[in-house]
Amino acid sequence: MLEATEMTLPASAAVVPLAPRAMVAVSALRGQEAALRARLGLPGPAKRNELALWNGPASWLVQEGDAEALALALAGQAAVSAQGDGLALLAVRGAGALDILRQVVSIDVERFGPDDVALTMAAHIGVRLWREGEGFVLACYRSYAGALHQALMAAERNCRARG
Amino acid sequence: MRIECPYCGPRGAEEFVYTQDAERARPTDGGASPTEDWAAYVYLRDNLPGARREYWYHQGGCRAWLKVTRDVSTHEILKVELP
Amino acid sequence: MSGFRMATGGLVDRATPVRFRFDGRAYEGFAGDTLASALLANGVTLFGRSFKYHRPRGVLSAGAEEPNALVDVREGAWREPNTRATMVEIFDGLSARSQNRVGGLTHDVMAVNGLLAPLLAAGFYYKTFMWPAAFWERLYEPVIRRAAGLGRASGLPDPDIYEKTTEFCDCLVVGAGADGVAAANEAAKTAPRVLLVDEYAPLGPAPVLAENVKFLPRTTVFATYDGDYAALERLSDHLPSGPGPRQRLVRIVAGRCVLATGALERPLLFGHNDRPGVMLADAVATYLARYGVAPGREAVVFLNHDTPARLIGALAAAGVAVNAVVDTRPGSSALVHEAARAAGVPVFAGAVVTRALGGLAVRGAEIRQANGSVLRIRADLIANSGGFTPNISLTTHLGAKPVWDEGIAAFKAGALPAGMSVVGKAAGEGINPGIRAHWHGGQFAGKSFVDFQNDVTVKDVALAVREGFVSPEHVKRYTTLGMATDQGKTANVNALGVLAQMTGQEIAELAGPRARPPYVPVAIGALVGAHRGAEFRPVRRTPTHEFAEALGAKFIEVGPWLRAQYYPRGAEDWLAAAQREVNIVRGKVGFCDVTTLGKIDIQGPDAVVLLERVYANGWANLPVGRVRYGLMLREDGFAMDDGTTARLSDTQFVMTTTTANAGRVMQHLEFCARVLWPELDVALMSVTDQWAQLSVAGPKSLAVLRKLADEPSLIDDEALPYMGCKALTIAGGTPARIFRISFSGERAYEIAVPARYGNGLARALMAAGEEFGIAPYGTEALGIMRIEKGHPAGPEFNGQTTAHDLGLARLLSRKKEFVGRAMAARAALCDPARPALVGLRPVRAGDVIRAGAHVLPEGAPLTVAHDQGWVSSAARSPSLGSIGLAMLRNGPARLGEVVRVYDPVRAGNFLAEVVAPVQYDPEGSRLYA
Repeated sequence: MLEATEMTLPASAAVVPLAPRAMVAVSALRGQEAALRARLGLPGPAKRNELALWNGPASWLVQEGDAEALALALAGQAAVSAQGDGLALLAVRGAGALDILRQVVSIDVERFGPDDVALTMAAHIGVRLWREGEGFVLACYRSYAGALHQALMAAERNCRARG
Repeated sequence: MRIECPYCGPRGAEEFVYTQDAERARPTDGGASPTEDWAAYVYLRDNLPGARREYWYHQGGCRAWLKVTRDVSTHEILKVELP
Repeated sequence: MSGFRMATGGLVDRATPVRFRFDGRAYEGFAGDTLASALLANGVTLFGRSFKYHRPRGVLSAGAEEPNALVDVREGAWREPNTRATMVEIFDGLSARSQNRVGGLTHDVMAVNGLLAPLLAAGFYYKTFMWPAAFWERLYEPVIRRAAGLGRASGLPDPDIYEKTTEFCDCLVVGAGADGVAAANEAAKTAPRVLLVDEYAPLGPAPVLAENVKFLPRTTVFATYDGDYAALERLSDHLPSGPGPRQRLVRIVAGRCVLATGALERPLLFGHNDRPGVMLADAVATYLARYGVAPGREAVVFLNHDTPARLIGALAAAGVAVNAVVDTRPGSSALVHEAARAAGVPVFAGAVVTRALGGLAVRGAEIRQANGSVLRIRADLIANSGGFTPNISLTTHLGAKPVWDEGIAAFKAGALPAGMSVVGKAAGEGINPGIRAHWHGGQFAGKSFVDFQNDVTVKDVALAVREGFVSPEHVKRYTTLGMATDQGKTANVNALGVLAQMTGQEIAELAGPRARPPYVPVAIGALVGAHRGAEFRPVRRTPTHEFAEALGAKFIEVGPWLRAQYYPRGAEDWLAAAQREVNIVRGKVGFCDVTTLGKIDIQGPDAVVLLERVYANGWANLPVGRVRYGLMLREDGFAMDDGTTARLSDTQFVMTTTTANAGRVMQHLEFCARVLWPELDVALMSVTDQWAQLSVAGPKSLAVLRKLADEPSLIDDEALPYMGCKALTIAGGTPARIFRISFSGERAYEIAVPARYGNGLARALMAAGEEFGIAPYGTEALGIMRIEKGHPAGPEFNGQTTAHDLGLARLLSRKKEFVGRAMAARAALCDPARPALVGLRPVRAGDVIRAGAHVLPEGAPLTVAHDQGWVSSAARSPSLGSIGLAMLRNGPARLGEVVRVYDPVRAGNFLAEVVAPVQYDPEGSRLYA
């Protein structure tokens, strides 16, 4: 196998790059949305569950999946595409997580529920945002990872400076 | 200004982009030749005050295409629906 | 010496002295003082010089509406001019300076402008400095520039950090006075999240608030937008400059908003009403009560309503001699008489102050009594009030005009923005009891200022009216009244009153003053936040970025992406490196990261239908395992984008787009699939970041890839012909896709692997290709080669070219419908006389073609009338020399003709031959080398 490049972004107290997940994009073909949701147990719009995150109209991101196997299993019902390399994941944790997020996103993070997913912009970068564990996770396209990380670290510095 | 995306809920207007007028339907004759209908669809708009229907795109959010009814005089968004 | 600190009183912390400097002198104040209160306490009266006439100015107010006391604070890069001294909280080590003077504040040389006053009246710049015309640039403009303006910027980059955040609440209350606090606590009973915001620093006992009320002091709501509000929180403006964030821009999303912003006092107008020592009555009361500072020792109180009456007793209690109360109202009022009697002060009813006496500071007041007789009263403080105006700027930001309320002689909010209500004094409750509006009692000796900051007088308004500018909007623009940084907060209503009086109209008929955001000046840094310099916008990096960086590549911004531009060796400049890379590709083998080109996965039973409808050329007959070039038009028939699309299965395609148009094409496809033809059964997914894609090109490209492929036979020519594609594994199991397409014109393959293997693939190619002399190449070499091959790219796809122009008319299918089909058929778009794609070669070796040059007939005059086209792309080919691609009228019919390439901006003027666009390997045989 070719050598893989690991995420080399440094972690801080509040901003932690996560290991990539074998995410798989699943898009329902026409008229198949309800059946697909029922069959796999997929969440509704702007929601997530153990299996997947909502990823747009009739679309989901399965968090850990085998793209080839899913493509075979869902043939005729859904379009399947691997996204495990295309998305980078950054966790924002700790007491200052809300404060950090409020500096980069313009959605009501305080009211964010444990099974909510938001597709929105963070520091001008498209992200999918959800709660996980004690904090939040932001997923962005891999090429933006450095820029998003930089923005989150700057926000963390602002929090620290204010004490 | 907040716009209520049917999927995402209310979001800042900066997440959306106006793309084109939705008052005029695309001709269905296959486009074999440049007719008045085609020229009107591409270039002409009725510039009237009051509620107009427009296509907006939730570019900074879920990327849904939306048909928005908006009062172009007051900017008030009257309805947001899927096309 | 005028003002003094009272022995007791005020809310400042007398146990905490603060040392600061003003104009080089050391002073002491208390924690909680503003610069204004502390300087007044030290007897300072002179704070600066006015904008136009350089008149001596003091402090007029105690708050955000201050027009006069603008100072320069802090040092070095932190220096900020035009700061209201009434809003600066002093801290140890603060250094401030007065502005707009040449020489000292007391002896400002520019005060000579006062003598030139008749020439500097309103609108003077429309009438003066016109002649002689040549003098404008050489003399008048430089002099005016030096004399103009108030403060001077530091000229250095803003060193502060600014934060941005968003606050969501159910109810926003603006203003934490009694009315605001009450409104917040009331709202908190039913609203889960209440945000209370106050412009000033907290001083004195903290307000008692319900638990679900979040209180932000030192925060100014400066804008009402459609549904949102913007506020500026001053995090450390009251502290020495430090590393933490200075200010925070708060975007407030509120279910509803309550304005408890109170009311702003307006002055009465009289001669020399701008002298230091003339102050708003309520401001004087604030200095006494809040700061324990008496701004003078002998006062005259000038009023036209009852509220300032309580100031009489407060001044007396502070040890200030009140020498007179002047009331414009005939007979004054019971309240005023009572207050005056209690303090032993004479009341002049039905009288006016005609002018302030004194030069650098007030010495006295000249009064005209009801019976016409004039007398002079000694005073160093003239506390005056023409009434209060509800502070409702925020209700006017969306355009609603305020309405005049005759009963209180003030403008109140007109139509309110959705969700906004106004309470307390801001709603006009309990203000101006007994008021009788008094605008201007006639001609006075000495200037009567209406707008202090822009130096606009009553005479200027009269001049505007005489010249026909009678509407408030015209008067404003002709005189600049209300256009200073204070937005005329203490001027606008007086201006309307004076204007009404002069034109014989009722003030109620005149349009009430509307304001625009921001309510107060906001530093650009606060609006920018973190997005400055390198972080202006997010940068995207390719999967081989680390590999390229390690090799010393120079990067170039392509939209948001950083792409390797060239890989210099030794002391190579960009051209030497790029030409070497081209030679290596054409002679041996090279590779380039092309991940940035958009990649869109298109799947579904109707995937091929969608392709047929968005591309001009046909797709139905493309076999599985083949790639085809596609041309996409806009609905108006002009070329939008091009790319290659590969068929991976019956129902799966991968489309590539240009880097610049990736987002636009994705949006277009989604529009087609969801709005135009929602009946199509097709799904679209962006996979640009999922796959690292490298182009491997050159005669040895296949040899290198065979070494990496786990099954080399899968990519031999029989298995993978030109324009074929295949899935395979490489390097012991790494999944890959290979597309045999060529942008360079050489035998070439694009190989895609999951993005995490990007750097690994680059290194593996270097290892496998070492024996063949492989090297990476960047965008410069990429560009040279595609221009050698005559491929139209971004500069040719500029949104103004058609398929015919680009020599791609054969791709316009005659058999199917597609986006842009109808309008592309317009005769004007197919006209061969349109500029169309050709190649250019200089006649004389050594001439260099540059993109942007014009193309004209050889012997024609060098004028626009003879302009026949332009050079769209140019390259310095290592084998062909200087070459170009151009859009030339009737181009394809003029091959062999000699034309002139004219570049007046860069001094280029030489002859070139029109040739076919493909200048290297026109037969295309190298694809199979």
